Amino acid sequence: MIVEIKNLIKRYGNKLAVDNVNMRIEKGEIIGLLGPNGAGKTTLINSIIGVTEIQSGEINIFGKSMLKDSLEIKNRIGVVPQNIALFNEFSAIENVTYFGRLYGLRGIELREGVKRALEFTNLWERRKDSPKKYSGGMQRRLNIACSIVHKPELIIMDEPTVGIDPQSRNHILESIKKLNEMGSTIIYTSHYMEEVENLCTRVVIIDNGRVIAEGTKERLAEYVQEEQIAEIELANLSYTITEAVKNLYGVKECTLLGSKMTVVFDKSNNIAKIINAIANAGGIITKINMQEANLEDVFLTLTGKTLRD
Amino acid sequence: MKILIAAYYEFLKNLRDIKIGVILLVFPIITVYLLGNAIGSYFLNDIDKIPVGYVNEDNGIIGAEFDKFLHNKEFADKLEIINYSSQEEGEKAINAGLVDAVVYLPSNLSEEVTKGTKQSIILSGKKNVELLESITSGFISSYNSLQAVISVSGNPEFTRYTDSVKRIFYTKDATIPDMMDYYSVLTLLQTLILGGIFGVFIVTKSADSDMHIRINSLPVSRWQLIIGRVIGSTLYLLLAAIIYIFVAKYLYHANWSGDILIILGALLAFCVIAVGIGILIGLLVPSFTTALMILLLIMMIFGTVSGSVTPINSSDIGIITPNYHAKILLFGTIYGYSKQVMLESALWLAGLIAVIYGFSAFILRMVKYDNI
Repeated sequence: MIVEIKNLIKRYGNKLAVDNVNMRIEKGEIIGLLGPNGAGKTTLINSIIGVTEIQSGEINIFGKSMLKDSLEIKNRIGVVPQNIALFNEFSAIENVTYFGRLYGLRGIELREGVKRALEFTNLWERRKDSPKKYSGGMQRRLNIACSIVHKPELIIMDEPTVGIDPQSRNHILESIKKLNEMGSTIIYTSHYMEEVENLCTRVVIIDNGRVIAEGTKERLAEYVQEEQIAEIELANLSYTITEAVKNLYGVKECTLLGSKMTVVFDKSNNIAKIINAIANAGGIITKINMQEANLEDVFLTLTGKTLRD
Repeated sequence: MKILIAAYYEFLKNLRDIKIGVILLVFPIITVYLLGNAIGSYFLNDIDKIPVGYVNEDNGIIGAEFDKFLHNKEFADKLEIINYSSQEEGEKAINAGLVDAVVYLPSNLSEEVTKGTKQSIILSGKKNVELLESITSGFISSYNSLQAVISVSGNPEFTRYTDSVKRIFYTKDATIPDMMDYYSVLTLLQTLILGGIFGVFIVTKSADSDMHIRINSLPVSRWQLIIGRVIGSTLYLLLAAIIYIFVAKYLYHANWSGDILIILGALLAFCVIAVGIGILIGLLVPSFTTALMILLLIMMIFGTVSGSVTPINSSDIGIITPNYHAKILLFGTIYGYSKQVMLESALWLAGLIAVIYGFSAFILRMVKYDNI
């Protein structure tokens, strides 16, 4: 276990920004912190890395207490802040070198680390340019480069793709997967469900400073109770077939559109029974498409609002 | 080691910030030109009379000529001359605050000068001695042009003299400070206070950047970062001061002679104080804009009370400003003030550094800032 958080509480005045959060992160995971704007993701991250003072709780990283051994821990983590954190007065290579030196890198190790970070983020060719000459996507990549120059074991990324074009976003997401393959554990916060679904091995859903659900995508999908949706295409759709499906126990709805039948049914029922009913009624199935519940559905079920509310 | 890294990159960052460099250099260069050339004489003519004690025990030609010279119409509107019968009486008057300074002509002045022995006109006082030096030196210069006793016996010169009374003295090789010389020093000091903006940057967070989060996530203690950034900012300010001195010295021919180590030491201490003032303001005031406005206000107040607007009407309250003591050290090495006076001002500057940074450290320990 690389990160352990126990009973973490952070207040801003009377407002409880992080409300008794407990969390564990294993080595090698990409864990997604998913929640809408204002949910407390950034505050939680800032509390973990010691940027902001907490009221109570324990934060242990690499088996050491963040309150007592923060400098030792910070040598092994990299943080990508939500907003750009670069010096416009320095070139890209100077930015990465400066932070590399503050991470304790020297000499050949520093030079190699800087080159590796800039090549990894596809910025080596533009290393002598200042960030103010970069596009938004390039600035985001340089933001990442400054955080990975020292090959951290744990990387914390706070919404690293906000406000950038899809091409840059895809590049960043691919880079994150590569970093994980190279051995880094990653904490990734976002309010974009698609990113978290594609990227993360495990998801923690946060709202109003509290963890409201945690688990793999499949496990979280079980929170979306009761219903599944199947789209079934038939070669010979008929009234008899439709009635056979409608009369099944647990089928809530059965609608037709051309040759496609959409069936909404209880989780207690399963698709096999529906297929059997269609076959017994003489139907020939050409295609079945199961619509899985996504994280947005999970969030909506648990909180009554969408991720973008 | 990380302190030095932070210092180096802070210095480099400030060096590449053209806007601040322009403010720190262009503003004083233009200001000193205006004040030194165009405005200086106007202010000099428009001030209250200075109370000056006068003790003339010399019955010879120099005493008589100096008498006439001092009571000249040209000085009548600048000086209120109060006669005393002895040097001791004059010193008492200084201590009592009745006069700012005293001119003393010893009884054997003319006699010794005639013989060829070096003698002295002694100036003493707590303030406005520069003007008296200027006047006295003017007398000597014009007296020296006479083909008489002085050309035979040599030039009278000033001498050093130390005792428990604060005195400001004058070495024989130094020139008289004119307005350009005066404002060249004062304007530099006033502008360097603006360097406090670097101190504000050190402790406040930028509204549109998460640099404070990145900095706080680094394996560097905030004390190391603050100290390093203070060093970097101070060295940058010192570099700006050195460039300014070069321009003032060689373009405006302002007098910046004197012990280079004392000049650099005084300026270094002053720059440390300026950055520290900025840190203190940044810690006490939540808004960057408000902090900047307070810094500008401090710049104007310190400058005014230490004499950067007019050299004569500097208030007693100026003694608590770093500008005043840095001025004493700089003028002291350029124009030959006593070691005692300079040492006192050096100690004042050291004390101000201790107070400002001590108080800042106290605030930092007591209050947890999320951005530093």
